[in-house]
Amino acid sequence: MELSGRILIVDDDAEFARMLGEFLGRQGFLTSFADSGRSALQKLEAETPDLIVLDIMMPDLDGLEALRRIRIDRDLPIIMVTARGQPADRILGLELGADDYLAKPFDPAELAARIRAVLRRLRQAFRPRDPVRIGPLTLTPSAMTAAVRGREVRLTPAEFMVLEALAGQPGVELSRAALTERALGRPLTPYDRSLDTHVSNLRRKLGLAPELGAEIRAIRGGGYSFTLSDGAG
Amino acid sequence: MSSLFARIWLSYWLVMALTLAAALAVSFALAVKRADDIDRISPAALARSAQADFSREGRDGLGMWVMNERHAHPELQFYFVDDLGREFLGRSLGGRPLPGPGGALVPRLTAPGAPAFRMYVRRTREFSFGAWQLMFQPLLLLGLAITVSGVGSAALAHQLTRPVVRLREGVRAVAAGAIEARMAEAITGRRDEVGGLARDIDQMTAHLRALIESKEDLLRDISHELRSPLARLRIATSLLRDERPGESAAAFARIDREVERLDSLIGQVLQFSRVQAGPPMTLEDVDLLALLEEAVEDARLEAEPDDKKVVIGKAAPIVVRGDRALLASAIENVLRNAVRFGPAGAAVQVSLEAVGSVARVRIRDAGPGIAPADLPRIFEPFFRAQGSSGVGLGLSIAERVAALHRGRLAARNHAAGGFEVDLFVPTARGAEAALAEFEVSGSEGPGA
Repeated sequence: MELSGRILIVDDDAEFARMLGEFLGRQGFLTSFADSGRSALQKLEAETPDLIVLDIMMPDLDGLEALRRIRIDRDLPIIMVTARGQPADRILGLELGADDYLAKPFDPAELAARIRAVLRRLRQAFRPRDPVRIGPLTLTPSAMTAAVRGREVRLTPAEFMVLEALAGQPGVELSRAALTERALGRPLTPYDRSLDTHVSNLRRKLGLAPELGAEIRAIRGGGYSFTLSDGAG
Repeated sequence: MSSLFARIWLSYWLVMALTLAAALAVSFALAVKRADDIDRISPAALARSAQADFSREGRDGLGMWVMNERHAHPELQFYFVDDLGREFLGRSLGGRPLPGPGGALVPRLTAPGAPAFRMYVRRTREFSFGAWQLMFQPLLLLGLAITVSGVGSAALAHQLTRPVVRLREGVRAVAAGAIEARMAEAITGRRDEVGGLARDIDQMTAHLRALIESKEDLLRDISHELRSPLARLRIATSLLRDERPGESAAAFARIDREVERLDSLIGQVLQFSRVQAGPPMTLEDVDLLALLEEAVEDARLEAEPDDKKVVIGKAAPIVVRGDRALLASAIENVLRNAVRFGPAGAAVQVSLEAVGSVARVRIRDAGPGIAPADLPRIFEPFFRAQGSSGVGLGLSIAERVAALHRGRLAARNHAAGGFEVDLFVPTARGAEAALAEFEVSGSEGPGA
């Protein structure tokens, strides 16, 4: 396997976690486990995995709360999984800064593919590159930060990659399928609103507006474009 | 005139007007009778009795007689005046000429050793009834009574029905899906029955809210409990497949398919149970075209591997007032059905149009359609047409969602082949007028 990494699986279903660990192990990943949100936070103090697979429904500290606490000071990629199947959970998870989401029962091969997509994007992003200025926006790939007119904004890895894909081609209309492929490293699947949630997070965090010289516009029929206003520098 | 306000107003008005009119009539009749009685008193008889007392006890006797008569006939005054115009008992005549109007002159009274004088009888009040008093005064008073009681009872009816009207506003908010809505403080704070009713309603909605929430929790738990074993099963097959490559590939594929089927069954049962309960709706202005385009994009992603297409025809930008997630699930369910039934290589036709003040989402597949005998049953939960591989809840969910939006779902076999489903949703305003319209345009559908 050309791409591997350390994956922390957080799930109170021990048997599920063990089998998933075995599967990911065969795919070349190193896995460790935590059976609750609390123990996951403790584990994170000792070791830093490359990615976390986080279940939502858990005793003591549930996945959403664990996600919120992890996101306070860490940008490491997180994929949420849940068997609750509530659309609200998915949106909430992505809004709180999860990078991707899968509903149980999922095909483990699909999870492996998404983990690889996230890690691959990250490694590309972390290659030393100089900050890029696009309109009022400054992107710093090595730190995964963006600044709007000098005001620094913290983004999750997924958000940063969506922004980079959009801002890299100002004025170009990108379909949701193309953007998902480029920024999230995987094909768009039906009923997948991850991209839209990332974009809405970006809009909220960056506070882009035509007055600021740039905005992210929705395209009729699906898709987005990053547009610079006239005279913006 | 069927409103509570009108009924209370009219009945109070009627009762008050009748009471006032009756009271007027009675006092009028009494006054007339009294006047008649007085008219019937004979001045000669009065004079005789005065003469008798005067003769017997002199001036004092006459004084006593006046006292007694004043008691018996308060409306009469008696004066005794001699030829020089002096009042015999020394009372003032008030400068009024005698006999005054309505006064009666009676014969002279005489007694030994006393001056002769005349007795005058005067009415203290005017008791003669002219045409004006007899005809118009009662009518005027009656008119006044009706007007005053009308205004008074209107105020009373307003006072009584206002809390009911406000109560209704609160209940309607709850009925419209705002299950968190509580009655206004102004009503629940009242000490009367209406205040009690408002507090009871608040308790009831709180109870309902708790029930709905516990049901939501239960659904989430059931979903979790049912899906967790499926999740393990799915990984187990993947692990086994890795260990025995090539072998039993068909069996593994079949297990995976069954897992997917169970998963979608769980999802649809939960969705159906949720819409069936009349969920709290989050009402907003929904861009139906954008919603449809999203659903079509998803359907295309699903349809492409089977070489099926989804084509949008007429697409009018229409905004409806509704719950975005519910409307999306209705469209998604109908669309997935159409994609499933349509043959490979064929296209599902989708359109969005305004029919009067109703939005119509029309989805037509190129499949074999449905046996006419089955048409009336297709919206029933778990009803599956022949050859269907679905769960049998998609159209039931869509129908419930349409009903929740005061719309309708209609389905038919298209004359030129294929199955056609119309989802009618009243546009943002004028829902009442809209209802009548889509009854006409959607009347060919089953389950009406």
